[in-house]
Amino acid sequence: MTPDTALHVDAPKSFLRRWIFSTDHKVIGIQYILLGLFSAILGTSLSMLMRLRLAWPETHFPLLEKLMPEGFPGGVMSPEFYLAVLTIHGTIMVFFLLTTVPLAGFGNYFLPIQIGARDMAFPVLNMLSFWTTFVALLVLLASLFVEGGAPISGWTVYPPLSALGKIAGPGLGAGQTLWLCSIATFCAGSMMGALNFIVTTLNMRTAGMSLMRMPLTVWGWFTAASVALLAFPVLLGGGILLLLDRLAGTSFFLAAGMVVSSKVITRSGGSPILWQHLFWFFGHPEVYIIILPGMGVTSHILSTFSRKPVFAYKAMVLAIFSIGFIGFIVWGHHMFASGMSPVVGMVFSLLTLTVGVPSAIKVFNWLATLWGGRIQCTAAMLYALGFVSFFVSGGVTGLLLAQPAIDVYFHDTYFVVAHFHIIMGLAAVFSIFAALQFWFPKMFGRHMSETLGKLHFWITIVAVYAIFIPMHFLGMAGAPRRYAQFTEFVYLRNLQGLATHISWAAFLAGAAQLILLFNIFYSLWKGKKTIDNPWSATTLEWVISSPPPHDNFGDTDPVVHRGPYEYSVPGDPTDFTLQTTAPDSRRPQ
Amino acid sequence: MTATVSRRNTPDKALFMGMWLVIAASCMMFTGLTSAYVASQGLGPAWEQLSIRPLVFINTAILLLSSATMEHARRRAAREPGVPSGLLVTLTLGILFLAGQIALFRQMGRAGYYLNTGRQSSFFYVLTSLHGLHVMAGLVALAWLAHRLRGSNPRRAVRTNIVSLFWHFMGCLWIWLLLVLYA
Repeated sequence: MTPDTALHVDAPKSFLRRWIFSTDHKVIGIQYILLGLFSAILGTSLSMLMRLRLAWPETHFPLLEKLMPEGFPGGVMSPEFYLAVLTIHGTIMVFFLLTTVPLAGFGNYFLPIQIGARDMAFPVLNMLSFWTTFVALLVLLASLFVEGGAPISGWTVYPPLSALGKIAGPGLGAGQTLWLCSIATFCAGSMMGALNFIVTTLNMRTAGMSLMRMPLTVWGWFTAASVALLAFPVLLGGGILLLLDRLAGTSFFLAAGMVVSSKVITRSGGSPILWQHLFWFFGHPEVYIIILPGMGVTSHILSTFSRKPVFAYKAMVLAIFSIGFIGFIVWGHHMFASGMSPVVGMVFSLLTLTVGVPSAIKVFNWLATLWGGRIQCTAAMLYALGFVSFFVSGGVTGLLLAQPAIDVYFHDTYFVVAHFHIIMGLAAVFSIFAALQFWFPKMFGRHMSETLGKLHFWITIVAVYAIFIPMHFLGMAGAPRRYAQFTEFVYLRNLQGLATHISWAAFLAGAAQLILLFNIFYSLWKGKKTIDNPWSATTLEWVISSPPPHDNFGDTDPVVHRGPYEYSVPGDPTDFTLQTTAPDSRRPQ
Repeated sequence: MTATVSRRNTPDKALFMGMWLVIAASCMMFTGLTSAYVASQGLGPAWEQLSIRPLVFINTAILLLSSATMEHARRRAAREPGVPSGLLVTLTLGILFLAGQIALFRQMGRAGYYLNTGRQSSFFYVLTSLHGLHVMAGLVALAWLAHRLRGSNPRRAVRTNIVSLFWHFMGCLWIWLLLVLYA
């Protein structure tokens, strides 16, 4: 079509077009990562506040009273404020950190480069996706500053609590409405982004980049985007119904006969369970939207630092796809305690346990990739190994929770909290750490400090396991989640020490993140300068300069001759073979 | 929403793919909502099916006719330059359909069925309004297309195909909603 020489494009000159309203996928990726960084700092700070309340439920904190007089009357956090903090923590972390950074952040930056494209298929739409997400975050933050403050209904916003308005509790007036508007906006942004990822992957691969030559990272992003495109519309639909219940007097989610705050509610005809179905039909795929990019990054990094090809690449691709697919038919396992028929429960249970098969395939293949490799213990490698560790330790508790008989007891206890924090929170966060450490030189031309990275890794992994392993025991003892205080439960009194231990571990884990923050900002300016391919890796992002030029590949598009993970190919002079290396050009004749 | 110039990127294919994905996402939203509607029928004893009004048949006929005129315009646009008259007819019929839907809402209101009257009428208003919003987006696309079809652009056929794909989807979606609401 167009001659090659016409392909070169310079970056826009004006600051606004280049860095703010940019259509460059690399800039947009960094914008998403910065949005995620802000969300991570806010979300982590909120969890620190919660741990403070849980460990020392009756201690007065005059300083916090001065900062937040409404939340800390008399220096003690009010239970309602605890719930508001919990809601915003969950929402910020799930949507604005874990959904955006691994997929929209790193995916935006590296998916086009790894398939040899110069940008996404629809650059303007890409810019719109980011700014829509940004507006969604602003609207969510606005809910903190309206009368009554943030909603107290948790990130799952179950009705009737969330559907009735102010009468149901503080934050359930304007705060809850803003929350719903924020998430509806977020849905729109995510759908636009997902559409762009899918079209880019299918339509913009360079010559020779067949589907089965794509790096597993691209498979992860592509599958996550496909799941997002099909899951977010359902949440949007449900959110519209809930907004109408709040604003227009409908009763989609409200059953007859409720008395709230000593008032008889006259609405009737709907069912709060209906919301749970709509929410979890989105909610469970959402978990895989979060984790699939992490799986891709982990495979990518394990292979690079074992100097071995990914074990069973095709099985990995199939596993990614089947996890994405099965994710759509298991939502009922979030609702075993909702009174569903045992037959339906059994079906959902069996389907859920099925997810264990592709997950086990992935873990087996990761271990087999490591097996016999020449392992380089870089910080990125450690983080990726951390991902595998969390995926296993969070996955096995998933097998317990997938069984209705066990889940009915564990439901809404700290066992569930521990489970999803490990498998969804920590695993995904460690994949973000790994991706950052691994790709930082490519993105900014300088390395992050390996020493600080390893220090951060070891402190964090010890601290977070010190948080979440004991948390399972709290759950087994019957500690319910979303309670601000346990001192009133006689059977939990002798476990208060455990709660204090968890809080100290949480503070340590939180403090350790300062090392990471320092490492990021120090390395941006003072880090060791890098070369084009510092890790001796094989995929297309390592062919171009660090950081990549505005048009990625310049005048000529790369041509791909081989699979993504050709490490230690027998007969080759080096232990890595770039995807662009022509066949037979390397071997001595 | 223009695609970048790259050797591997075929913008026409990308736009087509994008439109199919929009349709897929839209289908998922309506699947969620219509499933909720069907599930809601089993919730309580007070479920009475909405009775179908003559105006529904008229509106349906208008929308299906507009799909036919769109198809006519699509074939014409591929052959000759300029704005095919069928496109303007489609645009008019689309506006007429929306006006008909508003008239239907008023009829429902006079009969005592409002958005918050009961599950049936709540779902009726939500489903038809969301469909109406999609139709409005389709009308914007039709107007954009009419603007772009003046003269002879090499991409006129592709653009027409993409917009007509969405417009036909509006008809299919409406049939789907009719079956769910009244069957």
